[in-house]
Parts: sequence; C-alpha cells; structure tokens
Amino acid sequence: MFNTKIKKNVLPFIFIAGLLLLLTPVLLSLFRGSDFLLSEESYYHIRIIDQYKETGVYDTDLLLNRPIEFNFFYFLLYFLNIPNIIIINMLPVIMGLICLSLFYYLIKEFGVHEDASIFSLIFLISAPIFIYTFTSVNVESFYLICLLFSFVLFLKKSYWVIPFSGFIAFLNIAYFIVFFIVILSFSYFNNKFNKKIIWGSLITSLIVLFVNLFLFKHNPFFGFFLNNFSVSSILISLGGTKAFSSITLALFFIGIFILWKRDFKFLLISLISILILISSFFIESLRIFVILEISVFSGICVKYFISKKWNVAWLKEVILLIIICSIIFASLVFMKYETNFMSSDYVDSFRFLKTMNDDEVVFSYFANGFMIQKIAGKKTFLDSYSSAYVTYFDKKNIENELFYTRDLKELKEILKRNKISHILIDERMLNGLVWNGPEDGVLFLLSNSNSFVKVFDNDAITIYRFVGN
Amino acid sequence: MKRNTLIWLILIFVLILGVRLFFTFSIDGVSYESYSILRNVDSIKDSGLPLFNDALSFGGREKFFSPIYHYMLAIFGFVLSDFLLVKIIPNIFISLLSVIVFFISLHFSKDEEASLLSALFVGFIPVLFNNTINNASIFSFVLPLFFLVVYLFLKSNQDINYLNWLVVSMIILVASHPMSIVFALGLLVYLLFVKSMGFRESSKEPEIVLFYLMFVLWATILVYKVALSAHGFEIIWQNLPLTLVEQTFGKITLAGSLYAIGVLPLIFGLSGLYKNLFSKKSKAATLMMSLAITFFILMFLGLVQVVVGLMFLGVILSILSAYALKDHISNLKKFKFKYSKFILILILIILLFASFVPNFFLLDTHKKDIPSNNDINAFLWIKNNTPENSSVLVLAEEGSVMSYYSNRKNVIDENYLLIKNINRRYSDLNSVYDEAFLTSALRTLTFYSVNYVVLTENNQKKFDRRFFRAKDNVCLPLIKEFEGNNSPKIFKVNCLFNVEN
Repeated sequence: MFNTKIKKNVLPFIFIAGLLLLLTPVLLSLFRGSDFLLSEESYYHIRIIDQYKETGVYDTDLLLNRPIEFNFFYFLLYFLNIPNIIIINMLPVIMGLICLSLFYYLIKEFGVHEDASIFSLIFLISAPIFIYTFTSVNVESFYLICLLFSFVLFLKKSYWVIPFSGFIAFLNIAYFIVFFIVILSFSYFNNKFNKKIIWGSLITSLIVLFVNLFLFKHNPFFGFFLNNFSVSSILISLGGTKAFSSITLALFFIGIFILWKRDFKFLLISLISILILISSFFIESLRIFVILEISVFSGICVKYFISKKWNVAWLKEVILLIIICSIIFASLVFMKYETNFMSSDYVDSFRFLKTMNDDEVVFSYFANGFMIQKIAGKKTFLDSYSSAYVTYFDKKNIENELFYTRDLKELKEILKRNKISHILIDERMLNGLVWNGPEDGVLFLLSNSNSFVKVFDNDAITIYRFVGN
Repeated sequence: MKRNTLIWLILIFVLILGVRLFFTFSIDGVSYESYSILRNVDSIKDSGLPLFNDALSFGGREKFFSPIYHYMLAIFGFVLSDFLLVKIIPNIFISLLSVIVFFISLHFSKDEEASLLSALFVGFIPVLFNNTINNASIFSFVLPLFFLVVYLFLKSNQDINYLNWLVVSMIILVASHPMSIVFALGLLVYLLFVKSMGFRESSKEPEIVLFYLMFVLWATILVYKVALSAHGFEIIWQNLPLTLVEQTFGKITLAGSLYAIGVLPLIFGLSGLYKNLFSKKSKAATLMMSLAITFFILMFLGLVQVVVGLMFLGVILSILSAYALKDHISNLKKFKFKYSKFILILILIILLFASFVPNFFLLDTHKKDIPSNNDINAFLWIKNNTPENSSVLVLAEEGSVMSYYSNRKNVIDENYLLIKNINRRYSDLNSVYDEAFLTSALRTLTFYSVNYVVLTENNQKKFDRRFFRAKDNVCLPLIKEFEGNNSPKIFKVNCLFNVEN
C-alpha cells in the first residue's frame, strides 16, 4: 500500500503532527497565565504536588482533610525538584512523544503489518484521550510509560522486567493486572517465553502488593476504585474527556472480527482486548492503555478496508470518508473544548472565593471542585474524586436535595450542617446540566429568600452567600 | 407483475386509504398528540425552521429532534389546512406501506395472490390502524420508509441499480428517526443467521451493512448528541416520568399481542417463520425473521415502546404470512373443486375483517382523545384575555394544544426530553389540582411561575375533578367559567408564595 519511500516520510511526519497536536493547546494555555490549566484533573495534581513540596505530607489532603494515595509520580517530581511551569507545560508533551515511540516499537515487535502500524499511529495521535493525557498533569501518563517500558523489557527478555513489574504493582494494581494478562497471553500465543522472568515478575509483584497492603498506610486497591458507568463518560462526542470516539470503537470491533476471520488463534488476544476495554468503562485509569489497543485494531481494520477488493467501490470511499471525518471532528472538537476549558470569568469568580473563611465550604457542581480548591484554596462539598470515599453516596443525596429543594427550612438546615457558606452557580449548571430554567429547584429560593445574598455575578458565574438568618 | 394484480393492488391501497379516511373524518377533531407536530409545521411555514427553540413549551426550552417529517408535512401544509393536513397526509403515507409490503412479499414468495393478501393484512393490523389514524404520528412516515429500506436492501443484492436508491433511503431513515438503530441491529442479527444457516454469502451485503452501521453510528451521535449526553443510556426511555415508563414500556402478553397484531398475521406470520427455519430457507425471509427477533428482544427488554414494537412486528409478520399463504394457495390449487382458491381467499378476508371489527368500537376511544370544543374555546379565551407572556397550567397531554390555540407558555407538555427533575415536576403539577390548602398550591404555582390554571373538561372527566380545591377568592379566583356540565374553568394566580414562611 505505502511504498518504502512514502513510509520513510510518513513516520517523521506523524511524529511531528503528534508533537504539534500536543503543543497547540499547551502553548495556548501557557499564554493565558498560571491559573489557566487544560483539565480539571491538572488543578488537583498541581495542588497536591505543591502541598507535597511545601509540607512533605504525602498521605493526606490537608485542605480537605482526607486520606490520599501515596503516589510515586509526586515523589519523583519532588525529588527532581522540577518547577511547576515545566510539570504543566513540558513534561506531558515529552511523555507523549516517549509513549508514541514505545507504542510504535511495540506494535512492530508484536508483528503488526507496517501499513497497519502507520494507521494505528494516526489513530493514536488523533485520539482525544491521548491528547488529554499528554497535555494535562495526571498520573496515568506516568503509569502508561512505565507499563510500555516493561513490555519492551519483557520482549527483550531482560531480567530488569522483574523489578519493573514490582514497581508497576507498587504504582497501580489495575496496571499490574493488565501487565500480567498481556505478557501471559503473549507468551501463550508465541510459545517463546522465559518462565523464570514470568515467575520472578509474579512473585516480586505479589510481594510488593503484600508489603503495600500491610506495611504502608496507603492501600494499593485505592487506585482501582470503580467509576459509575455512563455512556456519556465513555464517548467523546457525548462530552466524556477520558473517552473514545464511537467510530474508532466500531473499528476496534471490526478489527477484532477481521483477525478472527483470518486466524482463530487470535481469539485469546481478541477476547482479552475486549475484556480490558469493558474493564476500562469502570476503571477510568485504564482508558489511556485501552486507546492503544483500540488504535491497533482500528489500524488493522482500515488497512483491511483499503486493501480489500470492494464490489461497490464508492462505498469504500464513503466509509473511509466517514472515518476520516469522525477522526478529525473528534480531535478538533476536543482541542477546542480543552483550550476553552477555563474562561477568565471562571478564574475571576474562583479568585473571589479567596475572601472566604478557611473553615467554610463552597457548594457547586462537583466538576468545579478541583479548580475552586486550587485557585481559591477553599474546601468544596464534592469534587471528582469524592466517589472514592465512603461518604460519597450520602453526599450525593445531599447534593441532589440541595439542587432541587424548595423548602427553605430544610435548605438552611443542610447548609448549616455541612458548613456551606457559598453556592457557586455557573452557566452550564443553568443551561441543562442541573436546571432547565432560571427559577428551577433551589434557584427559586436563592433569588427569593433574604437568607441569601448575591455576592458575585458575571457572564458565566453567580455566587450566593448564605447569611443564615 | 400481471395487470390484474396491479389493479388489485391499487384497489387494496384505495380500500385501506378509504377506510382510514372514513374513520378519521368520523372524528371531529385531531388528537392531542398532533398539536405538537402542528406547532412545528406552522413554525416551518412561518419562519422556515421548526421549534428547536420553543418559547412556549415548558415555559421556554430547547428541543432536539429530527425535523424531516415536519418538513414533509409543511410542504403539504401550504395547500391544506392544519385539520386536513393531519387527517389526510399521514394516512396516505401509512397506506403506501401496503404497496411496499406487497413488493417485499412478492420478492421472496414469488406469489402475487399471497402478496396481495399480505398487503391487505397490513392495512388492517389493529395496533397500527389505531395508532396512526388521527394523530399525525411520525410512524405514519417512518414505517413505510423503514420497509422501503428493507425492500431496496433485498433488491440491491440482485440488481446494483437499486443501490443508489437504497443509500438515499437509508440516509433519510437515519436522519428521520432513531428506529434506524433497530434496523442496524436487525442487519447484524441477519448476518449472523446468514452465516449460521449456511446461506451462500453475498459479497455486496456485508459492504452495505458496514456502510449502514458506520453511517448510523456517526449520524445518530451527531443528531442526538445533546440528548444523549444529558440522559445517557436512559434516552431510550425518553426521560418519561416513572409513572409513564411502566405504561409505555410495559410487558407484552400473548393475548395483548394477539389482539394488537390480529389473528391472521400472527398465525400465518408464525407459520411463515417456521417454514423458513425448518423447511424452505430464504434469505429474504431470514431478514424479516432477524428484524422480528430484534424487535421482540428489544420489546422484551423494555427498550422499545410496546405499541411501536407491536406495529413493526405486525408488519413483519404480515410480510412473512405471504411465505405461508403461498403454500396454502398452491395446495388448494391441487383440489379439483373449481372455486376452492376463491373460497379460501374469501374466508381469509372475512376473518381479516372479523379481527378488524374491534376497531369500530375503538372509534369512541378516538373521539375521547381529542380536545373538546369547550376546551378549545377556553384556550382561545386565554389568548384574547391574558397578557402575552403568561404561563398556563393544564395537564401534560393538553400542553401543546393549549399553546397551539392560545399562544401562551405551558408549564408541562408531553415532550419530556432534556427536562431536569421531570418526576418531581410531573407529580407536583398533577397533584396541584387536588391540593386542599391554598399555601401548598401557591407554593407549587409560584415555583413553576404559573399565572393561570385551566381545569379543562378533559381533566374533570378523566380524574373526576369537579373543582380546583385550593380555589380562593383573593389568591386563586375563578375568572371564567363556561356553560354546561364539566365545562372548563379558568383560575388566575394573584398571590405569590413567600419562601420565608
């Protein structure tokens, strides 16, 4: 399909395109100032890294007074003393390029056809979840690179894979399970494996998990917590950030079907891939790994479409057009979302909250939590990690009650009990995310009761203070 | 096709359309459901755009739907009044279904008489007849389109010239209604059956299915993105209040199906299915079988409305009937009695009409499903005697009718998609009529910004409500009462609930 000369030019081009795709949102955000990050998660990690640097406390979130997982990534950044500006703007992009290189090396080693490899790379660099992971500060990018690196060591039959597997078990149990599933199925499939390496890795990892579980404060199962599954969280077109495009998901399944059809021995790998994909619907941290397998199968599928002899030739062109359009739309829509993630109206309102007392709590939509915590330095009632704690379901019920109550007495009681002093409402909450109309639910009480004073208002945000008389 | 068959087909079409028009014109008005469509058609006629931003529904909201059917009606709306538009055009669309069914049946049975009977069956499926007669239902348009796609899919396997038409009709189907997703699922089941039943695989079929799957996936997400991200997987239940979900997506029973689909399509359809499975296999019949299985499973899982599922199942079974009828007709030909074939057809037609007789009794139900003249007068009174931006409370089913006649905001209607906290709103607004205390009623009315409450004739008869219990001469006075028994009453909300109390 591609001749050798084209292949030589295509590969550097793909890497440069990948670099540009990752750099564009990063540069746009860099020019806007330090309070403008590209994702909600970045605000959380930067705050925790800052806390670690300032106080050395690694197992408790001092602002919210809740336990947190010990994270080697934070420790590494602290140890290397890397400034925040590099952590935010450079490090993710560099890790993205490393990930691309490791991915390309691995698929070649796994025996994927060269044309399919090129398509896989294109699918990967244009995948919104790839852009998200390698333009924002998050721990999954680090886990993924460690995982890919350990695969490389395994393929090279290096004994270094034994301590490395232990390290992965130390980092995240979900990645540890994936690592073993993949190397075991690869060994079974290839019939050329070093038993010592596999047993050594397994024993080391189990020891690490055991030590983690009983000797250290932090629980390795913490990183394994299950997310509430919703269709909109796994599809990029429905607003998910760590999500997949629906067309690439379809190509993934068609790719699997093509492999089955070609040779039944691929059944095991295909089933494992589907299993990991389904697991990632519930374990969000796995999705960045899953996009790699989706890219591989999509690449195989597109290669098949192009090389297959079609009875109706124009159908092939239309199908390829749909695929190209969906890839371009998904990545452009996501980049637009990322660069517009935070407007100055939001930042101004969060800065306003700095005037609050330290023991007071802000109530808003949970997705605003990390930003309020980082910029205002204040507690929020809920945030995106609250679901990992036992109090989550109680808090979620209270949240629902607060959003839709029309009983002033009940509202006052809940606010006092939870020390909520400020209610922050943004335009997304007003336009369907929480309410449909300007007087829906609690908005009716906020605008008609003397117990609330509007203390901040701009185009995007309104903040009410509960005066509680 | 023989000339006689063509004449018979035209006669069947005319008969079905004639019966439908007779029924629909026996009813004085159009059903509550039609008014939402009529408001969109009127908007297209006025501004060229449907009501994506509806200032009157739920006090003002955004709507997401495919407007193709509304545009189709609007084209005819320039020459027909709203009343005639709802009565005539959807009935013509749905009557065309019998022609399409004839050609599908003919395609695989190769028997013109059996196919004519199939076409006749389809015209009188009770569930289809009752739900598309006087309500401008979108299924009047989607059903023929769906089966046109099925027909073109079958034909394009034989003749490449049909392919362009297939692609065009597929695109229109996908753009018209989410039922296109069910067709995609049906095609996947069909491919599985083709593989497992040992048919010779057509090389074109997987390509067409692949194209359709890709397109449906892409287009569905594009069209319904906002609704999907708001409701997720629950979009299937259209954000209906819980009390309505049970009624709409309830369980199917054998007796219910028998009554809804009709005895003949069910018996002959199932025997056609049996024949395809165990005696003479046909790819076209397998496609129909796959669609039937898909609809049945989706209905069983509560993912498709029972009524909608039964309408589609009824048509599919009618088509499959041709497969069984063909054998019965050819068996009868072997008898020496000269008129045996005609006697069979006569018996079938008598049985068909016998199973259709209950529809005559349902005529009375249809008459209850339209707003009364008194209620319409009340809405017109509101239009002439209230400020333009007033909000009026009526029952959910009356919301669109009220907005259509009075041009005032409703607080609730039957388009629940994208409305937050719908269960609470639905129960609040339904129970406000029965509130015994003024303060409780005022709390709800103030909260939903209601300015006027109309206790319609329909509301009084349906829930046996004679009066608005919380009526108060100062805060909730009766400002207009029409003459007659159960006549509509209009109340004005003069006071606001003080939240500090």
